[in-house]
Amino acid sequence: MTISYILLDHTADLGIRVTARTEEGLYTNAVLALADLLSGPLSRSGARPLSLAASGEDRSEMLINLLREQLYLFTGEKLLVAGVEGLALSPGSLEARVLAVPYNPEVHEIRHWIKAVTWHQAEAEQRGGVWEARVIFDV
Amino acid sequence: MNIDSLKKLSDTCYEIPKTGGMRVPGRVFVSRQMAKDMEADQSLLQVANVACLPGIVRASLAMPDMHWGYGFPIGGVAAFDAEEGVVSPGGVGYDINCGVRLAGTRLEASEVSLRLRDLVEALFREVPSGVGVGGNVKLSGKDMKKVLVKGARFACEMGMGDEDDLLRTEEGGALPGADPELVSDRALTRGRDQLGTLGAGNHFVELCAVDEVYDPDAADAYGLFPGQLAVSIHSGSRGLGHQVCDDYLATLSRHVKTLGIELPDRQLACAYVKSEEGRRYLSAMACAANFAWANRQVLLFRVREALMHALCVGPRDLGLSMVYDVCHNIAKLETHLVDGRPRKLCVHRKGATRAFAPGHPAVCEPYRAVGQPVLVPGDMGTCSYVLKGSETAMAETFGSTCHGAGRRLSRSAAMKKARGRRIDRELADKGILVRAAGRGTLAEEMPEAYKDVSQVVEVVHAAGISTRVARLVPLAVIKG
Repeated sequence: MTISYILLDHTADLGIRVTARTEEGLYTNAVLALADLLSGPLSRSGARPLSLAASGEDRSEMLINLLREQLYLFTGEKLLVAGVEGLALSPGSLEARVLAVPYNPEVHEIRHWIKAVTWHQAEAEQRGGVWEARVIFDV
Repeated sequence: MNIDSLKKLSDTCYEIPKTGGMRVPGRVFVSRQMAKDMEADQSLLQVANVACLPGIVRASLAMPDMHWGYGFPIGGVAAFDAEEGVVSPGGVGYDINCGVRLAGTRLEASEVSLRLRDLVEALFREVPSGVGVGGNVKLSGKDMKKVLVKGARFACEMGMGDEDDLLRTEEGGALPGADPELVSDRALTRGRDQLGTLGAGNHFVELCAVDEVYDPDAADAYGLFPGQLAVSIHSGSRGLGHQVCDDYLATLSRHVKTLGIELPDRQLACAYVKSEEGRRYLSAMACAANFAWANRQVLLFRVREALMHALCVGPRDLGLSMVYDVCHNIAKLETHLVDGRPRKLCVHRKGATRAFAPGHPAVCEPYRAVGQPVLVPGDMGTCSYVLKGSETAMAETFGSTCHGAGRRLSRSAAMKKARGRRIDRELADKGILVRAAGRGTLAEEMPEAYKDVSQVVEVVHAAGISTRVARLVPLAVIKG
């Protein structure tokens, strides 16, 4: 799993800056970055395919909503994302096809106990030919 | 923004002048010595951002433990007119009714000093900790709804507390107006097995000793005496509260666009208090707040069981009894004097504690002559304080004060600073035993990650918005 993101310093919480060459790649990398923050790389053995759908009036809202869905997958359904198989983007909405594995506390060590995806300083946009996003998580 | 650009009102209070979209000034309780921590992050800007919201009254306030949050700063207090103002989920935070509960015992700390290791292990076994960790109270759908309405009383009805506990809990352990129908299935799912669990991060159970008493009359009223063994619990509404905040932030971030309110930060999404959207949030928030009070009530029960078992004593010999339970992430409808007239306000305290004065009817009868106890935990290596509410707080901060030490370092900076060190051993060398569920927790929560709580308390004491009653020092800490 190759992920293009860096951690941002925030006094209380945890932020990431994600980059990609395409808009689809940006959302994909954001999902992979959150997966990495939660559990690190996971084996895809026994993973099952799932869809994460999100919509939004702008890109940052769509990004936040996508990551909210992914986080709920873990906090509510105890599933961790092991990979992204594809992402379909249409105006105002997207659908990510992910591979998910059941969380097993005996096997998976949670790196960061993320409580929520915040809207604080959230952005997703293209700058100089590079797609960039910033998200701050409540931990 | 730095302190030199602010207007000095006193040695402990500085004003951010009203500029741009600010409807009122910002007012920051801080000493010059502590100001550099605030200057290092974006918290002062966040105080100014909050001042832009409709219906804000008097000033956007910040306590000396303030640090950069998301939307509102942590350590912020803002009151909005109940008729013309707004309520904002971001002004409460994700961990709705995160709070602190303090209970005293009949024992002196010196009586258990040789048994501390046993006590720590017993507490660690008995108190489930870690963010996603469930407990052994499994709630049916029907019981969950009862918890959301009854709060701490539900736990007491299950035999995990009594009327005296409720009396000594802010709001009696339940906010009115809670409607479980306004809580999403996702939130209910996340909370279903989390009652009586600690959570992770800065949440803790701490065995501590009353180290110094500054106000003997108040300490006596609160049941505190020098050398006493006490227990402090810091936890909140767990996944249920996080999901309630998340759900309503998403809803209100769309709703606010229909109101034509310009937001400097999307995390400040809000609705008018009297609107249907505002009422729905406040009602769901009350459910989460009530879950948190029930949670701390169950946690205290677990602590009592663990201590009795480890010390081989009965409830009478242990004498574990509530001092008080305060929330520090909440929005409440309260009446305050503004320009000499009573006015109904929606007071947001995000990382701030209510500090009501002597004589206030909301202060429980046993403490009414003294004032409301305020519980201010520090980091796990230094000390905590019990303060009392004051008339100055009523006049200047809508009856509010600080809530803790406040973070100074980011989590990644703390991890870097802790690299190659054994924080548990460093604390053990100081006579403090710690156990944590998460491997990185002790590093992220190391004492240097926090401001000096004594300096924070010095500011609020000097400003008069709450005054020192007693200091407690940690003996053993269980972290999530």
